[in-house]
Amino acid sequence: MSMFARAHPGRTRLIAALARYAENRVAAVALTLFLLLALAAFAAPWIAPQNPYDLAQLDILDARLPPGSAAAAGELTYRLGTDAQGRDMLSAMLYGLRISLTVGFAATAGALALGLVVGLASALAGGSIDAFIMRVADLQLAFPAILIALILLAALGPGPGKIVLALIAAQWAYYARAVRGVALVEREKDYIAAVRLLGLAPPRILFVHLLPNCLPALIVVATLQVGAAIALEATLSFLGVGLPVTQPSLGLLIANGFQYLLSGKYWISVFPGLLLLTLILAINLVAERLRVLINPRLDGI
Amino acid sequence: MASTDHAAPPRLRVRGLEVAFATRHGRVRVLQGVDLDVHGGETLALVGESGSGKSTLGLALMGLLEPHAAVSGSLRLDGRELLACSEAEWRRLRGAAIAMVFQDPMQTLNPVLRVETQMVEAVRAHRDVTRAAARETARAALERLGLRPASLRLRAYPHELSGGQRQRVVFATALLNRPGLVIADEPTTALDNTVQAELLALVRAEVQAGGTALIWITHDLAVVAGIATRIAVMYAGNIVETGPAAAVLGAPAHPYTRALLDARPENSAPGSRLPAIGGQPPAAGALPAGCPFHPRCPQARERCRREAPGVTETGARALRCFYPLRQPDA
Amino acid sequence: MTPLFELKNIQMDFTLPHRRGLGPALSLRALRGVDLQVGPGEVLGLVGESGCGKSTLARVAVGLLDPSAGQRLWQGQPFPRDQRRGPALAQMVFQDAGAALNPRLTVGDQIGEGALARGLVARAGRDALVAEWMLRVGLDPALAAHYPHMLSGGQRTRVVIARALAVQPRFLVCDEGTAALDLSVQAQVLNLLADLRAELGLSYLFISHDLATVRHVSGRVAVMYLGRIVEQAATAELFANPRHPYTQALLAASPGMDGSAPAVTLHGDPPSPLDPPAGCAFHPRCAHAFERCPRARPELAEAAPGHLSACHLGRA
Repeated sequence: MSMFARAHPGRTRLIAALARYAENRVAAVALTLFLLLALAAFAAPWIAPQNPYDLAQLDILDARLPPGSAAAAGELTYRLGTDAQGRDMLSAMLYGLRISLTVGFAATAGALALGLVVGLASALAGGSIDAFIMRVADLQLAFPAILIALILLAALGPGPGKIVLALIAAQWAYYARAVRGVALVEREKDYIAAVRLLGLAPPRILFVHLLPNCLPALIVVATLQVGAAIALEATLSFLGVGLPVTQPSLGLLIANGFQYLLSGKYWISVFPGLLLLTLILAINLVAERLRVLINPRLDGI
Repeated sequence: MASTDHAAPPRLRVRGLEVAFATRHGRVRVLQGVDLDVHGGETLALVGESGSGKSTLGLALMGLLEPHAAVSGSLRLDGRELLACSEAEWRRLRGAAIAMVFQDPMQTLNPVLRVETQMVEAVRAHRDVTRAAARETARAALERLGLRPASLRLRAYPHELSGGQRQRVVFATALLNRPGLVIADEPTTALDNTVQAELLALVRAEVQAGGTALIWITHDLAVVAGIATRIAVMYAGNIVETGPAAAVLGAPAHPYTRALLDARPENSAPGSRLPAIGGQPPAAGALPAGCPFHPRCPQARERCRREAPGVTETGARALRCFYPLRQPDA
Repeated sequence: MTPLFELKNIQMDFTLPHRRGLGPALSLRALRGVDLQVGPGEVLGLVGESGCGKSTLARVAVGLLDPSAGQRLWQGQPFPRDQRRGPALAQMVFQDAGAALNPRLTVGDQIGEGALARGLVARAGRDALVAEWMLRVGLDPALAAHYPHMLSGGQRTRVVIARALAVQPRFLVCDEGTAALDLSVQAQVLNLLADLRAELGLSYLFISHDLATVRHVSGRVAVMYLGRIVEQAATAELFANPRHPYTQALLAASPGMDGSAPAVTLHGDPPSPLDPPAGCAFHPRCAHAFERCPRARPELAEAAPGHLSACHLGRA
């Protein structure tokens, strides 16, 4: 037990950080919106009127009902209408949101972890190892992410775990590049020189001093990439290679309604589309605010 | 002082300038009602330590305070009230009537444009002259600030110049349009003494010739020793002593000015203990009652703890202290 | 007597990528053969303007940079490499104390970290050691739980000093360690450094661009110009009797407190270390340059007993 009781800096710093974040109203609204969406996704099994994955609950007679229709059997009211299988759109969207968020965050965490290891190794090794790793990353970045994911999914088949793998493969290089860039800058700073001079062991310098100071910049990149990962997952599902039809994500819901769009049954595509748009917009606004907070010189640009 | 005509009204007149910021700890007043006059051709050195408010004063004079700062008082340049100016009017003033020089020249220089492009643009933004005439004006300005060969330097990009050369370019550009007021915030702090000495002398000559009022903000009294016409010493958001440079440096009346001078190593025998001022300058939000310097002041008495001293003027000198070290000469 | 610390003919080259990404890499020779000795308990002052190589020299001296050529000696022996246990030999006080502290660790953690890693203190004794060093550099031990951003500039400098001293070095390199401080605080820190030297028998290499500070703290002073020492002598002798025209110009240009303007003795700006002038590097700015100066480089040689100068003037 340290005699220097930590002056609960964690809590006061968090509050101070939140207060600074909220100085931008748009960003505060975006964060609130995002948290509400995340909460709704988390609580989907309890708040959704229907379990859209349970085929037994679906009634084909209710297919493609407009918003506000009542179910043919039972007391359910389809507030946002139903899809071609007679699924309640609201329930399907809540579950879809859940899948989109899970896949987006899991893929981001995986890609961040992989990128962190590769990027740090690259920055610290330097020389030809660094050059080799960065050329591999360049090559990877030269391919469109969607192409890599498509090829992988075509080989692996659909499924949530597989789409996460595909997204990691498509995105690790962004993180590797970003980590390497930040680490190269931080490594040259005097506090690193000072601890080298103290004679600390390299692992301690890496994990206690270098890494924590690289993280803030990475969190910004990661937040932006969560949005990108969700969009990519939606695209893949829309193309029919992402998730199985029985577990529709937002992208798949949009795809399912696509063929009815011109026949006036707008709700099947449009509502999931709007939800996806709102989600990604909220995430990007939060990321933008974080970017400004971490590098205040960007404010107003 | 020779070329300064004190019978004429000052070009810059600051009265009761207060600046406050709203923070999470409430309203923090950073400037406590500053009064200041600067005449044309005069170099006023504004000296203070970090947190004294000197940079806030500089920003206020340039209209660059953050929008949420609460500013009150009066700030007149050639009779015009600046605090009443809109942001658009400020933009027109800056670069023409008011110019500024910062510590880092790259803050004002555009890294992707040649010196010539930037200076010619600066001339033509405010004067209707041909490109060739503007170029000649720029060349002459660089030459006067010791950047030779000027025609060659005009062709350079900022990164091709040394720190000292860049700062010469910034000063030349600032003085191009004969502004009424130039505010230089620690402009030579990053420069070497040999470069600094030459630049100080050249800028001072330019300012005198052009009738410009120059405010030179610095933390180091010694830097301004030879170049300033007048000195204003700031502490805790106010000017505590002002007067002709030689008089203030030769016989400081405020204990703080005295302590600052004594803390310089050149004023002590080598190897001896330096007479340091104990403690730290107070934070803007936590000023002590009474005279803000009293907790660090060796002459503080009971009255200093209770009351804040007002301004006493004697001739060209002014002071905020109940017990001055030496009565300023009348 | 064997000096405590010695640098012999140190050279330091940096390779810069070519500006347009093509063509040959540029080589920058920051140090061009530097010799220095620091005796036990001695303070050697090093004066020079920006770009002369003094910060590079500081980093070479403590071992953060490996010189391209030349030797670092400790008590006459090659400097031990990579010693991670026991007392440290050399430590450094950095110019910008804010940048030299990890923003995410408390200052107490940072002060105690080195001593703990080197086995100088057990984990149980760490907090006591931290408190002891904080008191010694004039900091309230209650500040140990604070993060660097919560401290003032002067307090941060004291933390950096405490952190360096906690690993029990005998040699301290101050690279402009007080330059960023306010005058009133700078005086406090200079007094502290003097006290610590007296108590602990430390040796200093005190690097600064400010002649007055160097004069105040040093027993001997070396003057650097463009990667070389151009003059070196006991402090009183150097300031009373500067031999090298560059030293003379530096002295004349340093601001005085008497209200007189600093004399303008040098015109123009120092040359780039990428493209140093031939012969004596100072000749283009020197008022006394004659035909030999651009052709041959003057060696650093004794101009008077104990007074070294690298200038052709007055030599046969």
